[in-house]
Amino acid sequence: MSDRIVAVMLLVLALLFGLQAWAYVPIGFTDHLGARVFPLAVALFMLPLTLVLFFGRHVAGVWPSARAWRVVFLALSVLVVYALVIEYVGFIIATMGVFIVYGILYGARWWKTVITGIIAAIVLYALFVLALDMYLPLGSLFEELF
Amino acid sequence: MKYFKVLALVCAFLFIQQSAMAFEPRNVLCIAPSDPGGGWDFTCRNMAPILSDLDLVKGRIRTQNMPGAGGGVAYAHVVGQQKGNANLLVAASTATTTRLAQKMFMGFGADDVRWLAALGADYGIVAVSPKSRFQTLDDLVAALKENPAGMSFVGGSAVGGWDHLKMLMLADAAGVQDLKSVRYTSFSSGGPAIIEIMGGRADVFTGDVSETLTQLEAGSLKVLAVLGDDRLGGVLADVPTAKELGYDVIGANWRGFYIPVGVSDEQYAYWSDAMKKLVVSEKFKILREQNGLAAFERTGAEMDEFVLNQVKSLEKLFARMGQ
Amino acid sequence: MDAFHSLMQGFSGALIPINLLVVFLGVTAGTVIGMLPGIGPINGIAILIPITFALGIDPTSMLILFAGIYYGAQYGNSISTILLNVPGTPSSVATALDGHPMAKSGRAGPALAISAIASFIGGTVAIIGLMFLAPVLSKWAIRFGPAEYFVLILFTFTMLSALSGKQFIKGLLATGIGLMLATIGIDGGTGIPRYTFGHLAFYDGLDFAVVTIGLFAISEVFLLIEQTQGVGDVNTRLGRVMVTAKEFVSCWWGMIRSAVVGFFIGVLPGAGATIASFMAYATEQRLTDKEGTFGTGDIRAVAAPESANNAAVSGALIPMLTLGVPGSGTTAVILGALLALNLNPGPLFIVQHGDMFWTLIASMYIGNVMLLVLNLPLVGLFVKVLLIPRYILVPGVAMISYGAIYAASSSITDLMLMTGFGLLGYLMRKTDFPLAPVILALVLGPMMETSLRRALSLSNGDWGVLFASPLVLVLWGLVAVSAFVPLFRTLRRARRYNDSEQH
Repeated sequence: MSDRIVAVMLLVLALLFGLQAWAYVPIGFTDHLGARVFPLAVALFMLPLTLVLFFGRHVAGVWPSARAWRVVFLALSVLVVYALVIEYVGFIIATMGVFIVYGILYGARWWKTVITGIIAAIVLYALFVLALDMYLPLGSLFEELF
Repeated sequence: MKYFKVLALVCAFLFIQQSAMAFEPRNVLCIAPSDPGGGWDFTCRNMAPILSDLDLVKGRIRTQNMPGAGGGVAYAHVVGQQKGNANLLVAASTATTTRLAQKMFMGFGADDVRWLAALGADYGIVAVSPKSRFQTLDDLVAALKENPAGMSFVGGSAVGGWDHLKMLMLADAAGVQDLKSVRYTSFSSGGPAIIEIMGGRADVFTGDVSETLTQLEAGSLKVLAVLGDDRLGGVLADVPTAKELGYDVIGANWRGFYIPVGVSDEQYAYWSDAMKKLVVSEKFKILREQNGLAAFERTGAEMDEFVLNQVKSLEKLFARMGQ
Repeated sequence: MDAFHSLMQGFSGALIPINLLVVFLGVTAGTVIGMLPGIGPINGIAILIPITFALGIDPTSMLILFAGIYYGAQYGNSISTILLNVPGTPSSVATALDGHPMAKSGRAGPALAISAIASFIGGTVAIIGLMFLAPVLSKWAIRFGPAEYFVLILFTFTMLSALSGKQFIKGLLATGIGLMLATIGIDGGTGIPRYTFGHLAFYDGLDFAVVTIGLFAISEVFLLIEQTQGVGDVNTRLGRVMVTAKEFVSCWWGMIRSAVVGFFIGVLPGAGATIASFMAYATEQRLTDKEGTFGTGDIRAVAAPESANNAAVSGALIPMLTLGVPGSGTTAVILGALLALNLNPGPLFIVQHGDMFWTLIASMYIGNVMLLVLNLPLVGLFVKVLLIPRYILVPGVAMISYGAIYAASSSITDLMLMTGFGLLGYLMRKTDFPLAPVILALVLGPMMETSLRRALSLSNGDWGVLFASPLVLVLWGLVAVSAFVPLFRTLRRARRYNDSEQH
């Protein structure tokens, strides 16, 4: 069943992709093939394959339990929140946050997750910023405080 | 009364002095709008630190890489979120102005930032294979006039990018009417484009001097003209400029910085003064020479005007292309 | 004889204490940088350039240092790939296919050991090639035009079936997804932004590291989180650390073949380690995988791509040194540093700076031996990473990835994209779609399109250019063979089946 759903989704995706490709007509200088031939070819390559997938033989897949879905959703949300707040609270606090939530998901004691979070965040910050001379934010929140 | 006047003058002088002293950049960050290893990254990691060495900036200058959209991601970030930040430098070059002229930066214009300085330039060249049917620029231009689609140009930038533009300026100066008909093939950088020339599959390379130095020394590439005001030295001493040959084409790929709008005039003055001191320093001159860059200095208001003019003239050229 | 004499002189230059120290520092730093997903040798070298200039290090030592970081990073990358399924670059994806399954089944030790050995062999074969063939190969690199690249990429795509396992249709669909992703960004031939939907962040296309790490590492994080509910468990089965003689022998010819393939592909500017490693994997699968164990943790499938990608890395130095044309971002940075020192790599480099060239070659021999000697004993230590409790290891993998991507791009969009690809990877694994074809298509797709369009643009629209040179005809031959051999084999298998029926 899941294969059929995927096939339909990919079919729609390929159609939209191909339709969008049609719009890529250069207004100025162009080479011989132009911008839309390749994406059109990709869409044409996909279409028959989605049909084969739809009508082909299917093996019933094993889907994760509802509980597993919830955990994965939570783990994913944490990473989204991380991306949203990293510039505001800074790399160190954001990283600690992920360690704490993931640790609790694994059933570790909260104080253990806090300690590993602090150590790991500082070690990673030192590695990227001090050793590799790259840039990580310290957090605009703190800049406003000072 | 007289004494009072003098006192007032002294006070005023001191005040000005005071306020001029007041700005001192700290925790300076240099945004390189490319990945580590790109040209802008070089500007931030190698040129900017000389400001610290000269004590024009206290402490180390850190580099932040912000690649995307040929500098557009960094441009949008600076215009949108860094207004008034006087502790920020952003690396820029002709690639930035080219994209601006094509209006590829989300509708932002060249006057949405303050152009600070150009510190050096990589001049454009017109190069062919030593075995080419074109042995002089005049040969090339004559053939181009006769049949604009009769030869293939290659370069290390996308269509509408800098290498393509140099080709267009040349064709324009040669009197080609239909600029769209001149064939240009884009490569991801100068190297692969040079290989096409060496392999005999393409005719003309419109890159920059620094990309071709190794090939020139070995004689695997022949430069017909340099797109600069004056002749260059070294291996290029005998190569004429396009200007000398009667074609008014200048292609200087400058490297420099801009800063956000909203900084005070006094802060802007501090930075352009610092840049003036930077370009005359011995350390900088050595670095510039080591990297095949020619002297090309514009700072402060002069730079601002230069960039705005460059963008305007590029816009005209693009309009003729219908780009 | 002449080369031997020069090499001996090279060794006398490379064996002085300062250069030995520099090789050591280079390969160690390279290994560490390579272990971090998303941080490549280019970062390490770009950052070191100002420092080495400030310290006034001798140019030869500098070149040795940069080369050490360059090939050391390829070594380091396989460690995190095998242990944690975190290929930081597309060139390690082929290693992940069997390396990580080996680690999961308690054979992390042999997987790491064979990867170190294979890297050593690949590196060494490539250095020998570099020594004798550098000037000849620079000519072959020049002959390789857009038409040749196009057919080479077609050839690589015919190998896809080997990467898809039993799910051939799904493998092709995954390729299609990768090709779609590959079209995102400004089109070089017309200047039109495609599938960017007005977002500047998409103008330069998707970052390989973001897609690779998202699909593999982040989806792995989700799988681990899902599997171990409420148990703070560890994977305690470590097993033995070394490879057995039997395993080594089974890998031997594959490693040699892969090294040769990797070296020649590596010489082509722009093709590089990714194509080499996939091609080696697919070739070995076709030649030796009689039992169908590739993809489930076959040690030969780890040895082949590791040998190839290390050979490719050394091969990539050839166009940089002998043509002055860099084939990759990293070699471009090294080239820039050499130019700054007034050394002009190019056709005359080996003649003018022979001492430097041979010292570099000798240092690469030494560096490869050092990597082997350093890494083999450390395998026992590396596998202990798997003993770290999951509640530390899993967020650790995620945070190294996110930190590295942010540090390299300062882009929230990239972090979001990586999370999105993590979810996509998770769903693909749940529905039995192979992940590797997505990466292969993402790397090859733009090359296929641009090289075809460049070929046509240079020939002024004449399709005959695709058949114009002997080299391109040879490549077409390979495409034909590669496309028909599996078909032929299926037929033969069917006939054999019929034969046995009759008896």
